[in-house]
Amino acid sequence: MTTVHIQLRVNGKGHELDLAANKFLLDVLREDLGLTGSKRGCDDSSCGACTVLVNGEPQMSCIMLAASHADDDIATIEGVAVDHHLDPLQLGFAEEGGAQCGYCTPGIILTAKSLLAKYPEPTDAEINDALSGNLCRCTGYTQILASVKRAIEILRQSRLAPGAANGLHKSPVAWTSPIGARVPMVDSREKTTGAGIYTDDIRLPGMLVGKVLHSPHAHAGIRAINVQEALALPGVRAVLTGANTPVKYGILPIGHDETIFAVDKVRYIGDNVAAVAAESEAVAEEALRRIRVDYDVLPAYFDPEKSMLAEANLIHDERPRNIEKEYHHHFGDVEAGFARSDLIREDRFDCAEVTHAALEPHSTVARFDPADAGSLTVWSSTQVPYYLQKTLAATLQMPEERVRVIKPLVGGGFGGKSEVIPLELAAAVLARRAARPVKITYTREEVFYAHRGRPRTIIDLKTGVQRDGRLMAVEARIVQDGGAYCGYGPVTILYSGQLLNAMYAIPNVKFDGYRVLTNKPACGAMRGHGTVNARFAFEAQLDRIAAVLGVDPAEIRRRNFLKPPCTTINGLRVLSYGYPECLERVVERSGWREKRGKLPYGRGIGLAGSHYVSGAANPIIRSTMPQTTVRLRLDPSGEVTIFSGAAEIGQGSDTVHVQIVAGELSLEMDRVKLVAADTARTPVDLGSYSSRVTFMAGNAALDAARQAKARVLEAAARRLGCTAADLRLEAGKIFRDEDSRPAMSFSEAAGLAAGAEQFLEVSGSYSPPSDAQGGKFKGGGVGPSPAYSYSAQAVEVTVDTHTGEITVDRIVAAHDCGKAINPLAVEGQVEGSVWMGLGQALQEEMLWENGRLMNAGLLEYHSASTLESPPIEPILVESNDPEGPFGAKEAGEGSLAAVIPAVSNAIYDAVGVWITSLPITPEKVLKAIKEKQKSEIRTQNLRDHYSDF
Amino acid sequence: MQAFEYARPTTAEAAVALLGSQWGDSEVLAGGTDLVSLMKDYVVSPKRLVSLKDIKSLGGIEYKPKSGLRLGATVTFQELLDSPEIARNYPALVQAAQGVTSPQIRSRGTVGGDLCQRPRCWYFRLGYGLLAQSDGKPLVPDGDNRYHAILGNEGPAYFVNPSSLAPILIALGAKVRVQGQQGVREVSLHNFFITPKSAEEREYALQPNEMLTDILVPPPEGIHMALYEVRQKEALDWPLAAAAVAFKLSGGKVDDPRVVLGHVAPVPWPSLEAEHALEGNTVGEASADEAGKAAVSRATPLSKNAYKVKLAHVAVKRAILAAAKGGANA
Repeated sequence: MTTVHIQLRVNGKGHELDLAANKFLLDVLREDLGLTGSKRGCDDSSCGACTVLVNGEPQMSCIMLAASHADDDIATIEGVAVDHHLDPLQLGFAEEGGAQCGYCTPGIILTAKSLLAKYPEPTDAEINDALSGNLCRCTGYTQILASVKRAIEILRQSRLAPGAANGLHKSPVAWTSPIGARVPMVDSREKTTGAGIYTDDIRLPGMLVGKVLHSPHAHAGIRAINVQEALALPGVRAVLTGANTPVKYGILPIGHDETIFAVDKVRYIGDNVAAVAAESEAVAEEALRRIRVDYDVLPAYFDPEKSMLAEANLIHDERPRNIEKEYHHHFGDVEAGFARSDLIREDRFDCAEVTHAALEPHSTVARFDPADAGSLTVWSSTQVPYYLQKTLAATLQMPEERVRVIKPLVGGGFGGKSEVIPLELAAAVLARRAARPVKITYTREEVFYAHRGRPRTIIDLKTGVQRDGRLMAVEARIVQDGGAYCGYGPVTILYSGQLLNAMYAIPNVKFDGYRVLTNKPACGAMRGHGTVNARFAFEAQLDRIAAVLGVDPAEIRRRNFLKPPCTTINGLRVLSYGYPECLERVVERSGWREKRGKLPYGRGIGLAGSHYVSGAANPIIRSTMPQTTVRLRLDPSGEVTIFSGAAEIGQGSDTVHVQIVAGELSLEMDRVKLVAADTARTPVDLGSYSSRVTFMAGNAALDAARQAKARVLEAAARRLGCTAADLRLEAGKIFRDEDSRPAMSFSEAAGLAAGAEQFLEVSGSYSPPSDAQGGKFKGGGVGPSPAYSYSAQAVEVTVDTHTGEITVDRIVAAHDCGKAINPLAVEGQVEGSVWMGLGQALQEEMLWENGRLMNAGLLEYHSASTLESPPIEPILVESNDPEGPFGAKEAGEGSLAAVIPAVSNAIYDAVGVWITSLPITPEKVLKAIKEKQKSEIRTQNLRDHYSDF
Repeated sequence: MQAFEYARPTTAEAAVALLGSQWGDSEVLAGGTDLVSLMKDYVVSPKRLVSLKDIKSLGGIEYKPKSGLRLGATVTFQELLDSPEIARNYPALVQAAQGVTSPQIRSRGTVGGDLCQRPRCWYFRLGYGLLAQSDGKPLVPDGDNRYHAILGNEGPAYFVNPSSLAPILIALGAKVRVQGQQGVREVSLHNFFITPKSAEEREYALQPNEMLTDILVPPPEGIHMALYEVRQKEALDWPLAAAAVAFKLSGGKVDDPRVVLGHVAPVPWPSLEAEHALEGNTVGEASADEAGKAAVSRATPLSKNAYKVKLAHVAVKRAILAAAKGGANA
């Protein structure tokens, strides 16, 4: 390899470097210069996360040979803030919520900076066009646009009044509660400056590169694996196969069917066969090529309905007919319900498989310390540090207390990091074998194959209604193509059936659910877990029924509202129910009455609803332990530190903790610090899945804060010679009775409470109440939640009737979040959910052919850019749940599902066709329009024919 | 990615001297927006990369009313879009460049690279070779061919040409200049694209040791021109079908029309049928529709891409109507 000596000018500073001639700028920035703010999202010029400015122009550093750019001025995110003064863009992104997970943020800020340098006052369209090469998977771009516009405003003001101070957390004169306030994320500085550390940014001394060997066959026995040649390669430090790692694991106790590396057989293209740890990526890759695997190729199953008929060559021997799990629920009497129905509709829906495609690829760093019987530290891009710790301990056969899991910043999850991903275990076993730290970061293609996304779902839905539209019976047969391993499968299929309920009053419900194994990567939990496709089917069919009955789609929904507090026929307890308000607000804001059925041909409006759990009432592993424990430490100065195991993944979990504690103790937010998601330092929280964090960890934090407050007031009362009941805490000060002059400051009282030990610690916890834990039937444990969020949405579309192209013009989305503790973050969650649902509705799809993924890249997967992301107007509805912290419920998932049927219902309004398969491509629309025209011509011909007589 | 030698010649002659006599030995690197991804995926693994960055003569935009436009091969999309002469004289070329979204690609991707980019056919990108074969058997006819060719697809090539600029450039009668070992030759852009018969060939008429240096576009005098693209996705994607048209109007009648379809065949597809249908007609809904219908009259869709026939038809129709509406260059 030729090396070249170059001088590279980065952020105005020269660097003398001896580099391999073929090294890319992104690698030089990250590895040689330690500038890890430039992110690797795809490594193939698809996503823009690695954008840097080259002589002021945004370019992608992953495809730029460093040696070609010796003459250029290169700017990275690290150079944007000057002397720690944040740039207006960085302030704008903090203030307007433009940075959620933060992984795309550096690239976006740099691209925007280049735009504003050329055009200080761009239009919205110009901003969107400029940002069209920077993909984001969190925000839906609405808050990104707002952030750039905020920066423009700050710049405008500073031009008018130069020298005006700008800072992030400006303290207001009087304390106001942060509960319900639009506060910036507590980690926004890290995320906007490039200082934040994600797993792949970590470099430990002596760290090796780990790489995994994946199966090229969809289904094959392994006769033999020979690793000798790989081991002999200089620079290789460890090679491991299934023979070294036989312990089975899985996220569900009933589904331990995976091993770190395949034992005896592989079950999908991409299955994990072996792994190496080596001194460099090139050596690791070469070592993989030298591993000889002797396969015995078996017939494979790719279609779930065919797989269900399998008699031989089963994917798992212990799963007859390749059925992972089937559930049959019957509540009430559907036959009687159908008998009393005036109209019964039956339709089949087919929803394509989709995946999370978080911008941060999975990454894990593992370090094993052999001293003292060995201890393991793992940094990982995970939503579930606690389950990862347990699984590491089980598969590596180590005591749990010797395994420490630390979650650095996570660049988006959406459910894709909510179970243990094989690289997390592979990195750990390699680190133990090599006795050196090991990092594995998946390539974008590996991320697609790691998958665990939303399964292809085939739904046969039968609904019976009375003449007035009242629901009488619903019967659903749902088949999910689960891929080769169990994963969350039984939970996913159960959600699809159980959450047919808790939206509308349905007196009779029957559900037959099949989770089927096929030779493809395992599906898993994805935003709106299990509910999304069933909700699409239900809400689309409901509109079809409304059309036949001649009832307005909004009205048919009103006629079927629940009447809470109530318990549904399958045992789901519903207390707060903001769905009616969501629906009315959407009808109002969207102009529904003026538009539905009244827009010209080719334009239409549709609406639909959806809902989701605020945390699963039952933990994955049954236990009497609380779902969350949060500890608070008060320093004598009155500073508070929160210790929480909850996993921030960009949704604002850290911020909501700080808000709740600061709000309850009436402190400024900057006096509350947070230590989170480090199993050695923080108490157990089950993780960021099923939208549980604000509700559960939030309740635990509130519980802890209330205890701390009581202890502080007691200490103050002792000093003041009164009882705690005589005192109140307000704005950081303690008042006695009705006294308007404070008797003592919070800090002073905290010092008293800390006492001679100078230390006060309390812990709070949360367990869902027993009456929220659901029915006592098989599968009854999935679906129950202490509270449900609700969403209603209206979507306007334009359909090009000659090409089938669909343009979404506007989306109004109302979400009942109980109480918006941080409206900025809640709106971001709602917009992000709607946007992700829109992607599933129109563009996203995993295209498999014989077990091979045809579109394993962000371009090919069709992740939407700014240019096909319509403005989303969020409306927050606050139903004040009696059990939520300050009344809060979930916000991050419940809005995803409704947008899909709202789009299909809008297409019906526009051109009169029903599309029952996802995604709704131009091809499908065109075909449906053509068939409709044909059948209309047939009907007309028939009429003409008969009129002759 | 396989290791490679990196060369930075300063003249076109020196550059072609560094190219091998077989495809695959060396690759020419301009913006790298396509090539680098192909290398990272081991679809191509050149032993040498020849960078064009230091060859000054390959840049530059020159426009003269008499002789027309010269675009250097390494002119970027952004430079093209920033050129007032191009905006004034070749509006459809600007439309085509605008179809390449994202400032990152525009500021790096080059016009020469656009013409020489490799097909987006997913079988090719997955390593099944240019003709998408497994054990000598073509994968496309029975496989997922939703984005593949509907014209000129009798095999063995089924991919579509991915160029954004080629359809309109061909419609405008553009030529390209090619630097070879023995000197420079010119070839019409229409003839620059070929349908390969074997996986060892390329989809353009270059020898392995030749490279494209300039694009030459005749003056646009009196020409009505337009491009229409049908897309599933606005940005970061390729059109499902596109049509470029250029014609003169004399006495309200179409004179010497050129209709070139994009993304429907292994090469940009000049449609003689559409041109014939349009010639001598006035432009209106009916005649444009007739031309669109004629453009796809010989289409032979594969198992999953019949919908593209309609899209191509509509693209031709709309491009004709837009061109007539757009006025001609004086």
